[in-house]
Amino acid sequence: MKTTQNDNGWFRRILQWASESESEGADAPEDPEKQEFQEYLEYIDAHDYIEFGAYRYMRYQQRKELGLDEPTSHYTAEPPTPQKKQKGKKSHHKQGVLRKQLRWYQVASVLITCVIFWILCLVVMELPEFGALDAPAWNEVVQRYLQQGREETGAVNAITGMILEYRAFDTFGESVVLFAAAISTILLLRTPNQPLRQRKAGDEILKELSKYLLPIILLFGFYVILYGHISPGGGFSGGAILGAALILASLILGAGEVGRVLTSKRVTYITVFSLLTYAVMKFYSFYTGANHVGWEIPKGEAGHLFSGGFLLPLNLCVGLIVACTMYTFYTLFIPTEEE
Amino acid sequence: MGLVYNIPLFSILLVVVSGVCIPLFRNGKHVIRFVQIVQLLVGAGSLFLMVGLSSLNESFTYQLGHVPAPWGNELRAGPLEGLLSFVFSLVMLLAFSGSRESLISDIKPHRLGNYCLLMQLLYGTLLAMIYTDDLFTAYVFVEVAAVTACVLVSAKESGRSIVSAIRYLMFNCLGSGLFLLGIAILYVLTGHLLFSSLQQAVEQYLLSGSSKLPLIVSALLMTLGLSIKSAQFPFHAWLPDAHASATTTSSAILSGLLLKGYLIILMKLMVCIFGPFVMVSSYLCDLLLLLGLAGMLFASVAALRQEEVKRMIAYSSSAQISYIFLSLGLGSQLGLLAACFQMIVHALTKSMIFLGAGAMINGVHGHYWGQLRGAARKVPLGGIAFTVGGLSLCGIPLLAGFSAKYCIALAALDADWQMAPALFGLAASSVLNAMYYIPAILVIWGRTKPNQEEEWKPISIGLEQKFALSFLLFCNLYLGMRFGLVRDLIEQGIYRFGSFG
Repeated sequence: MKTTQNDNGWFRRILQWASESESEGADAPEDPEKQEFQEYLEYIDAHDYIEFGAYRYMRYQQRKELGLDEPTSHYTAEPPTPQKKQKGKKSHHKQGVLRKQLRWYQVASVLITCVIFWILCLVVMELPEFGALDAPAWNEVVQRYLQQGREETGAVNAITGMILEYRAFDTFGESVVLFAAAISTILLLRTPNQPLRQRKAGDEILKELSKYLLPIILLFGFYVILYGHISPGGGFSGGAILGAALILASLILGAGEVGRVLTSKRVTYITVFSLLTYAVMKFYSFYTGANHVGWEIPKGEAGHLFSGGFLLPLNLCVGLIVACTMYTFYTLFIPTEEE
Repeated sequence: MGLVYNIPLFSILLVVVSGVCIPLFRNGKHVIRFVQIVQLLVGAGSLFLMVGLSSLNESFTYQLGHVPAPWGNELRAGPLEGLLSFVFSLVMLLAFSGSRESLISDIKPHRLGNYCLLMQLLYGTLLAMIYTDDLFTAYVFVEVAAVTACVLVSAKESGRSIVSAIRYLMFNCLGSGLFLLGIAILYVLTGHLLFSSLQQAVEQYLLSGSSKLPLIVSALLMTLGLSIKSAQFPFHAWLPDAHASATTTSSAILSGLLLKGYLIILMKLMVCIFGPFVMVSSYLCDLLLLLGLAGMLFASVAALRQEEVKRMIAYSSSAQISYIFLSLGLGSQLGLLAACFQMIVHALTKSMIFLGAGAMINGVHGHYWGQLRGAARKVPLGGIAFTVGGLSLCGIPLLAGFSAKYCIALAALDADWQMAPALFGLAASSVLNAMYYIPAILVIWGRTKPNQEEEWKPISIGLEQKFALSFLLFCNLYLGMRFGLVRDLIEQGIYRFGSFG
C-alpha cells in the first residue's frame, strides 16, 4: 500500500476520533475516510458484523453497479480486480455465513481448550512433586548457586548473584527486551511536533502530602536497588518502585512539571547509557572470564555495600532501565486532558 | 584462546550495542549507513570464523563469564553456525542496501532511527539464536524477536499494517506461551537448561522408561510454539498480511531470516536435546513431515488466489518453510543437511524476490497484478530479480532452488516409507510454484496497450540497489551451479553440530 505524506496520520485520526477529541463538524465533510468509517460503524450496527475491508469492497461493488466508480477515498487505490475472478465472487458472499462459521470457532475453541487442559493435567500428575528433596530440579546447578554463590559472586542475595553473575547473559537479553519494548512504544506513539501531553496537577492536599511521601518512595527505590546484592530486592524490583514514584509524581505534580526535568529525550538517553554501561561491564567480565585473562574485579567483603564486584553498578543500570521504561510507557499512554 | 573464538560474543554484542547507540544519532540517513557498516563488519567476522573453524574442523563452546557452563551461560559455534551467521549478515546488509529508497520513503524521518534500532536488535537476536547453547537464552531472544518483529511490521503506518501487526502479536504471544510451557515442563523433569545436560537427562529418562508423557508433551508444545512463530501451514494466518503490508526491508528480512531463526532453534531441539530416538519414537518426526507436506500443498494453493504481489510471495514463503519441515521430518542426517541448505537458499532467494518486487512496486506505484502489468520493463533489474527468484523456486536447473530441491530429494530417497509422500509433495509443490510464478512473470514482462508504450521507459534505480540485486542474482546462480562447497561445509557443520554424526 503506497501511502503519501499527508495520509499517514489515518490511524491516528481514527484513534482521535474514537476518543472524540477532534471537534465534530468543522473537519467532518472534508474527511471522506472518517465519513466512510462512520458509515461503516452505522452499517454494522444495523446489519451483521463484517470486516472493514469486506465492507469497503461491498461498497465498491455497489458504486460500480451504479456506474460511479471513482474512488471516494484518496488514500488507497481500489483493487483493480482481474476479470476472471469476478464471476465466481458473488456466490461466496452469502449473508450470515461468517456468523455461522464464527459459532463453530467458539465451539471448537472451547473443545480445544478442554483437551489441552486435560492433557496438561495428566502431565502435571506425572511430574515430580513440587519442592521434593529428590526432585531433579534440586541438582548440582542449584546447589552451587546456594553453597558457593556467596564466595564466587560476593553477593549475600543469591538471586542477584545468579542473575547478574552466573547467568548475566540472559539478564542482558531481558534488559534488551525492555529496551525494545520502550523503543517500540516510542516509535508507534510519539510524533515530533505533538506537544507534550498535559495533565492537570492534583489538588493542594495531594501536593502537600506528596512533598513528604515522594522522597521516601524514591529513597526506598534506590535503597532496594543499591542493597540488591545484600538484601532481597535488586534492579528489577527497585526499578519498578522508582518507576512507580515517577508516575505518581507526574500524576500529582502534573506531567508538565516532571516532564521539564525528565524530558523524553533525557529518559531515552538515561536508558541508552544504562544499557551501554551494562554491556561494557558485562563484556569485560565475559571476555576476561572466557579467555582466562584474570583481572577479576575484587569481590570485597560479602555483606558490605561496596562488595560483589560489578553487582552494584549492574543493579543500578537494570534499575534505571526498568524505571525509565515504566515512565516512558506512562507518558505515552497518558490520556489527553479535555478542557 | 585465539581471537577467532571471541567472534560469536563480539558479533552479538557489537550488533546490540550499535543498536542501542542509535538514539544518539540525529540524522536517520546516517543511521542506515552506520547499521550497514556494522553488518559488513559482523559478516566479515562470521566469514573469518567459518573459514577458520572449517579448516580446523572443530566446534567450540565459549564460556560467558568466570563460571563454566551448567552454572553460567555459554555460546557454541562450529562451521555451520559460522556459515549461517555469515549468510544472515549478508542478507541483512543486502536487504538494507536493496530497499534503501523505499525505506526512506515509507518510514517517516523521525522514525527511521528507531526503525533501524529495532532492526539491529532483531539482527542481534538472530545471531544469538544461532550461537546459543541454552534453552532459556533461546527463549529470551525469541521474546526480543517477537517484540521487534511486530513493530517492524507496523512501522509503515497504514491501517492495514497495524491490524496485521496486532494479529501477528497475538500469534507471537501464543507461540511464545507454548514454547515457555514446554521449557517449564522440561525443566521440572530434568532441572537443566543447557542443551548437553538436557540431552543426558532425557537419555536417562528414556532408558528408565518413566515420565514418557511429559517428555512427549513438552517436545510437542515446543514444536508447536515454534511452528506457529515460523508460519508453518495451519498456523500461517498471520503471515501474508504481516509481510505484505510491511515496508520492503521488513518483508525481506522477516520472511528471509526471522522465520529461519525459529527453525534453527527447532533444529537444535531436535538434534541436541531429543535426539533421533525420541523424535522417531514419539512420532514427532512424522508430525513434522505431515505438517511440511500439508503446508507445501495448501500454502501454494492459497498463493494461487492472491491478487497482490507481496501476498503471493508471502504465501510462497510459507510453502518454502514447509520444505524445511519436511526435510527435518525425514529424521536423518541427510534430511538435516537438506533443511540447512534450503534455509540458506530460501534466505537468499526470498529476499531477492521481495527486493525485486519492492523495486517494481516503487516503480509503478501499485501492487496489484493489474497495476504491475509491464512493470519489469520499467524496472528491468527488479524484474530480472523477481523472474530468476521465481524460476529458482519452481526448481529450474542451474538456479539455487533446484539444488535445494535436489538435496531434499536425495534425503527423501534415503528414507523408508517417507520416500513416496516426500517425493510426491516435492513434485506437486514444484508444479504449483510454477503455476503461480510463471503467470506472475508473464504479467510483469507483458506489454501494455500500444498507446501507453512510452510510459514504460525504464526508470533508473540507485547504484546501491543495483549492486544488491546483482549480488543476490550472483549468489543464486552460484548456489545453483556450484553448490558442492556449501553442501560440504554444511555436512561438516552438522557433524560437529550434535549427536547425529
